[in-house]
Order: sequence, then structure tokens, then C-alpha cells
Amino acid sequence: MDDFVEDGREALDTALLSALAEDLDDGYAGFVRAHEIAVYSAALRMTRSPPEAEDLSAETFLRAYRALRGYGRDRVLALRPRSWLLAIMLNLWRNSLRDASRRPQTIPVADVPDRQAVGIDVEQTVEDAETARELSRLLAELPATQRAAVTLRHVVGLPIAEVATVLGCPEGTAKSHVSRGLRQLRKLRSPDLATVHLSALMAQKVDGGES
Amino acid sequence: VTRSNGRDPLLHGLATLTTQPPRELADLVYANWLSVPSPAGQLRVAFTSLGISYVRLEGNMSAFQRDYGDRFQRPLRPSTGRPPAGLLPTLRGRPVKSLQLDLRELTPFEVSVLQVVRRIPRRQVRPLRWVIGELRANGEASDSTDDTAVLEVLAENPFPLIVPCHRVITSQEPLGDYVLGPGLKERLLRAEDVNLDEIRALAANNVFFLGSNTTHIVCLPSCAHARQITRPHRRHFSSIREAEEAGYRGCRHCRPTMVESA
Repeated sequence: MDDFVEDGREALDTALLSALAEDLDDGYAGFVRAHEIAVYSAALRMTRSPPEAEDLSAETFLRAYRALRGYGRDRVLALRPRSWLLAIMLNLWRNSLRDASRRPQTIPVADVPDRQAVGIDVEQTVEDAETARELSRLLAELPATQRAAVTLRHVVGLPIAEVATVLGCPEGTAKSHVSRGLRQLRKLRSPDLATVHLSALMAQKVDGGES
Repeated sequence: VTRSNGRDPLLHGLATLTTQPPRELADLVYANWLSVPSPAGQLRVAFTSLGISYVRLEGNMSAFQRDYGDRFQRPLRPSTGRPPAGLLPTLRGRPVKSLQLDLRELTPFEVSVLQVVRRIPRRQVRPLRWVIGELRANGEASDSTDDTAVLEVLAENPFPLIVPCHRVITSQEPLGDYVLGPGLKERLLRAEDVNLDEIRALAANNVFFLGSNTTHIVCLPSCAHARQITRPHRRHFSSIREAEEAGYRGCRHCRPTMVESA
């Protein structure tokens, strides 16, 4: 399944990169559309704020465009666009953290329900939505590197080799960031979900009793 | 455990966290261009999600694209929608204040100059030294700010007609350079019915300010109020200091006291 998805993606990337090499301004819209969900999803996990994630993603695509203006055809065709874009995004995000360290922190809005991407079953059960909200909140509690690693591997779905490239570390290190992040999530998750389910159950009972 | 293994609820949950951006990101990254009519001729106008970013006479498209690319480093595409709200009336000479400009790629000094010039009303002109005086009054010019610094900004004005730099005149004849071409400047001012001939005749006699001896208010010669002073009541001044010494105060509309003595 993964290989099949990856093959399809590579064919698409090749087509999009050829379009960029042909006419940058003309091809760039398709390139943005193909990668905006990955970039925005990861930006949202890192910034924890939809408006900031939008700014960060737009800035990422602008920086990428500016870099592409200086690239020759061969260099464009050799790009691995997803990991390249995500590396730009993470770099911009780290720089913005450094710049913002003296400014007041923004309030995380991890509890705001996210608009789900196209292609995912819109008729999710209430339970799924709850899980997503809960995970979104828990993910936000992870240390930055683990959060980035888990997001790249399991939200965006990058192969572990590309996660390592984006994080700029060896593959083994990337793997351990991911697994430590997942372990932490499992630990944080179980008691919280139990509480959610219990309170949902109680609310149902109260409703039932009154009607 | 592989990623596609839906049986691990945690991995399944994480995979559902992919999120569509609220707006198409391409709309935030691209600038759009369209062609619109103006008194200066057909214009090509580029605009981003923040507002108008570049205006030039319609000429060679690839030259426009190259200039835009070099200056703004942003992808450009033909607009498929309507012109930004307020653009057409502004170009027809009825400026719409809410017309947004994208000022991101400009320096703070450039923004200050353009904001001062944007307020010069139709049918009027301002001397270059008035622009510098306004900047200094706003604390946006240093002691070293000179004619050249302001002229350089105007020569590269990204928003001609919207920021009416053709209404800034220098002491040189004919009228100083203009970003869309020198001959065009005089044509635009005449089309707006600026009293150019009168201003020139007065300047030839070293007169740069007009006062009314009934109101004791002094104006720049193109000010709507100055043009209402009847001949018998009109007083001529060569400097604002001369007018003030005669007991005149500056008009609050054209602000002649902003003109710096060179």
C-alpha cells in the first residue's frame, strides 16, 4: 500500500517538477496545490494556530519560489519537493520562534476543531472527531523535535528516510524521535480518553433521563 | 506496525490530522495582473491578496513580467476575477481611500514618501520641498534627507496614478521626470485642469504663495482656495516667511508652511 502510494506520488512529482522547469510562474500553482495540505498540516501542528500556520505555509511557498528562480533545470528536476518544502517550513518556524522569544506567547488553539482534508471520510463518527481533537491537543504537548518527527512520519506520512532529511539527522535518530513521541502520546492518551468517554456516557444518561 | 495499518488507533488518529488550509495557498503566494484603462492610457496592474503591488503602462508583457519578478520575487499570473474594489474609480480620478496597497516590499522611508504623496488632491500640485517638509513634520525624514532621496522613491513609484507622483513638481522645467514618461506628466496635469500656465508665470516672477487680504490665509498657487481669491484681493509672496511676517497664516488644506526653504 505504502509503495503504491509512493509510486503514484513520484509520478506526480516528476510531472509537476517538469512543469516548473518549463515555466516557473505557470507551473507553480499546480505545485502549491499538490503540496499545500502537507505543508499546512505540519505547520498547524508546529504553530498550533490556524492563522499562524497559514502565514507560515504561504511564506514557505514564497521562499521556495524565490529559491527556484535561481535553480537550473537539472536542480529543479532532482528535487524531492515534499521534504524540501517541509524543511523550509521547519526552518522558518524555528527562526520565527527565535524572533518571537521576546514577544508574548500566543494562546494555543489546539482545541479548535480542524477542517479535515479532502479524501478523508467526512462522515466521521463523533468518536473519531473526539480522538482527533484529543490527539491534536496531546501532540501539542510533545517537545518540538518529537512533535516534528511524529507529524512528518504519521500526519504527513513521509518515509523515515525523508523525515531524517527534513530534521537534518541520521535515520536512526529520526526513528527514535518518532518512537519516543508515539510512546509519550500513548501514555498521555489513555487516561484522558477514558475521562472523555465516561463524561460522554454520563451526559447521555442525564439526557435520557430528562426526555 | 506499518503506517497504513488501520488497526492501531493512535496511528489512524494521527493520519486523520491532515488539514486543508482555510484558503488556497496559491492565492496568497501569487500576484495577479490585469489590464485597465486610465487617463495615462491602458495600464497593467499587479495585485496580491494584500492589495495593489505594481502599476505600469501596458507594453511588452515579458518586460513587465521580468521587472515584476526582479522587484518582487513573486509568481505572477493573469487575473481571472474582477479588478480590486476601488481601482477603477481611483484611476478615473475619484480616489477610493479603502483601495489597499501591498507595501511589503517597500522600505519604511519609501512607504512614508508614498503616503504623503497619496494625499495630494486632484487638480493640485506640490513642490518637492513640500514633500520633504511633510516627512520632517511626521518625523519620517532625517536631516540628511534631500531632494535626491525623495526623487529616487518617486522615480520607482510602484503605484503611479494611485499614488499621484505626477502632482509633485520640481523647480526644473519641464516639470521634472515622471515614472511613466516625462511628457505624460504635463498631459496628466492639464487633463486634471491644474493651472500650470499660471503657476509657471508666477514662478517666473519669483511668486510661490498666494494670500487673500480678506482672510489673511496664504496658499500654494494650485490650492482650490487660492484659485478662488479674486484678483483685487490676491497678494503675492515669494516665501512663507514673508507671508507670515505680513500677518498671514498657512491654509490648513494645502499646508504651505510645509514647504522647506532650500
